[in-house]
Amino acid sequence: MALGSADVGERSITVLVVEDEILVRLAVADSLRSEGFIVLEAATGDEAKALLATFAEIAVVFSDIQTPGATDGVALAAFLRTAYPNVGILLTSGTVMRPDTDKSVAFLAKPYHPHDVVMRVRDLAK
Amino acid sequence: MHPAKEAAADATILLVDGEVLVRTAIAEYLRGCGYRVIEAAQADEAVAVLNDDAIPVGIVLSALELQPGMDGFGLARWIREHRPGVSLVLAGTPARAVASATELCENGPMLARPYDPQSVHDRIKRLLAVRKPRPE
Repeated sequence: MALGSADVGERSITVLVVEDEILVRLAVADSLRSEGFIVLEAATGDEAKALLATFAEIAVVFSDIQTPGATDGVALAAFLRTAYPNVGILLTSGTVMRPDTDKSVAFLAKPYHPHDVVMRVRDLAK
Repeated sequence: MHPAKEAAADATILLVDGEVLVRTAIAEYLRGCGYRVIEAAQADEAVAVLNDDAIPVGIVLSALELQPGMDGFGLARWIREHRPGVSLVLAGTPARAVASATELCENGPMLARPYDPQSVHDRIKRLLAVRKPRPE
């Protein structure tokens, strides 16, 4: 059950955005929400894990690779592949080139336009 | 402030809470009431948002305990000094935060509440019980 399910369509897709830079996270989350996605926000990989354990409806995770704490984006992707194999993953970074991850993990280089994120997330949710 | 910007600010809540499950539950509840909710995990994130003139914020709902950096009282002092026009609500416990969110919804952009606030409260209690098992 999505907490915000009262006023959104039944086909709304839930996306988890993991980004420690709040203004970047806000811009991405706003774009996704304006396109009808339900967006959960995490500032760190550890917050992301807590949300994943609680919200079974998360379909796609969009994560920066350089996040603070014990779980960076690459570690989070590896964790997702094992624990949540059906969740789509899109990683992003301004410094790392495409990381050495499972082939199913998508990558979007920074700087990106929020619209690019919307398109890629929509593809991954299919 | 420009009237349109003022109206946008009145409908925008900056929610500051380091406990992600509490923050997410309250944020989704407030969004259901029609607010734009900006989520901050700590005080310096809140300050970054408040320092951005492009983001209109009328209300800050913050936990008292925040880390690292400033706690809720420190954030309150910062707001009083730098953004005196912003309304601030400090909540010492998740229960207080839910009560404040309920009040904000009653005075919020939409007339109807999306669901019973008790269900938000129950959900938060359940989430926290799973997260931090406590001996009774």
